[in-house]
Amino acid sequence: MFSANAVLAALRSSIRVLQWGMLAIVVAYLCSGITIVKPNEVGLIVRLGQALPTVHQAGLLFALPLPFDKVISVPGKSVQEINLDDWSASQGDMDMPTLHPIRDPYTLTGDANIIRARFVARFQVSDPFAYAFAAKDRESVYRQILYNSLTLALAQMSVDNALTTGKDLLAEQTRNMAQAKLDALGLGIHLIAFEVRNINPPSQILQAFQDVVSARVEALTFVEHANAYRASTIPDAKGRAYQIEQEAKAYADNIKAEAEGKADSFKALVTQYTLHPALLKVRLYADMLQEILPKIRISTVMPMPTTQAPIRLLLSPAKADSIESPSNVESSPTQPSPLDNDELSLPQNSDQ
Amino acid sequence: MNKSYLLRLTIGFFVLIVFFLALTGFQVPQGESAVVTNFGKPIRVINQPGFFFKWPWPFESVSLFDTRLNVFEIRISEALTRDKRNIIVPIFVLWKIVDPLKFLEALGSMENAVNKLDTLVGSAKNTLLGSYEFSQLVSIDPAEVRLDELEKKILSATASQAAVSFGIQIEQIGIKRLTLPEVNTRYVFQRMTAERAQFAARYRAEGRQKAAQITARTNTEKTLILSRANKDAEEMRGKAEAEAARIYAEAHNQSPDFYKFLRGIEVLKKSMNANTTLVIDTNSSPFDLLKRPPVLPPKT
Repeated sequence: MFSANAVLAALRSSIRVLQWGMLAIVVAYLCSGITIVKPNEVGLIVRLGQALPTVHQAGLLFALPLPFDKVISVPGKSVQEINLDDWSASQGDMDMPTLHPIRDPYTLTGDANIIRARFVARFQVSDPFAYAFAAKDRESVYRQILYNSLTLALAQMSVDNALTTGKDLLAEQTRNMAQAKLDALGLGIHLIAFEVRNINPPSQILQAFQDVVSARVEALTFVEHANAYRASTIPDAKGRAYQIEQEAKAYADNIKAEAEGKADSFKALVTQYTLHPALLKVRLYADMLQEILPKIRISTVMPMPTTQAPIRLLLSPAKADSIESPSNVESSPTQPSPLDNDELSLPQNSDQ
Repeated sequence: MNKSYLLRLTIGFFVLIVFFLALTGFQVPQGESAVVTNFGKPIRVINQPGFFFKWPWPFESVSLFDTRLNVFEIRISEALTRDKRNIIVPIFVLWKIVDPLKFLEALGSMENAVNKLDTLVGSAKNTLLGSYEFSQLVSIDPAEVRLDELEKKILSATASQAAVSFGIQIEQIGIKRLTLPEVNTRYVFQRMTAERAQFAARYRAEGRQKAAQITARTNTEKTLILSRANKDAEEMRGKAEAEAARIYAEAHNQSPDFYKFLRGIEVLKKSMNANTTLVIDTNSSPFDLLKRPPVLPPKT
């Protein structure tokens, strides 16, 4: 059994512990308002419901405990991103021949074509108070405004433009329009960038679009082939032209040289001729006969006294079997040739 | 003893104050408004944030209203343009409570507000869409597109009623997308496919045409180059022949008789060949030698 004194002492000491505990709780409560503001954030104090006008930078922030002060952290310096993927995600079957207006969201381009796309917007807080207190569900407000600006920009753009060269223009227009609307609503954010992640025709007709791309490539190929043909043909023709001219030049040079040579030799002969005209003529004549007679068949007719039949002499370079050929026999048609055996053949013995 | 009594008294006083404040004070947070009602009857509207007092419950109670920007999309419905084309234009509304008392009296809750706004804006949208041509909604000519104007018209058609009847300010109305009824997309796809096929055909044809032009130009140039070369060559040959003729003429002129003789000999040399048969009288030289051999003078 414990004595009454002991119980009383125990009670007293536990009350002391309790007192210290109470004090600790009070101190902890009083310090509970002290907050650390992170480097990329700024802190706002809402005192009794009302926002104080000071923007607290990163570091320790001494605020009052809870029912009095509430600290709101705003990501004042970091760049935030909004992904706009609604128009690309198709929950329906991709093989469906149609698009459902709610399940497969899309918008129309200026030429009433359908496109699917993904975008990303980056923004920074420009006014922490407006950012914190202007809108209830701020991100969905931003989204609506961005989609709205995109729709308006695309509604005046052709699909070809939007898919190719107009992408930057689209992003630029959307950014400007959305920024103006955000400013008009006083939402306190600044759009740093707006990008087109990808933009495509719907999968149902992708094939047709790809065919246009390959048609472009093919068209270029045709032209390339033609250019290649041109690149080889023109030099070839020039080469051929050069050759023709060179041949002509060679021919010209040649006949001129020949003419000169012949003229010179003629002149030399003329010199001889003036000295001994008759002699030269005889010599040339004899040379000629010497040259041509071995080549040809010659029938020589010997004029006899009228009582005698003519004797035919055949000088022929022809081969043995052609000797008896009748053409040789008939070569002197005016004179009858009763004596065949009178024929005398003198075979050609050399070519000289 | 005295000291601890004082402490207890202070603590007790504090507790009393906290209790009192909890019963009678209330905060209106930033971004909200409050309506204080006396047995359900609104007696005060507080439009700024801060700490305020009221009589404790059940005498007075407080309703808080979020006055920040709200967003909602109205129900999707098909509409007709003036040129009778079906179109679905999803629209969103950015709105906020500006008159909490009116809002409390007319609508009471957010769901109610959204339903009322949906009806109000939805019908205004469908009516106004009927006064626009399809080409005023989408067109590649930016001057023709009037979506901006349509948004503003819907806004002005609904803003005053929302403000007067519901205490709501419609800040902005925006077109979220432009969409067609599902069945129509099939035709759009057909049209787009046909359009693409046309483009593809055009590109191919243009490429072929360009290639043909290049080829034709190349061939023309080639012909030109060759014919010019041939012409030059002809000229060169002609000149050379003329020159040769001049040279011959100049030489032959020295003795035309001899030239004639020489030519004759040359012609004979060239024209006589194996097929030629010559019949010659032995009286002619030198064959006369056959008949009359040279005779040596008789020895004496």
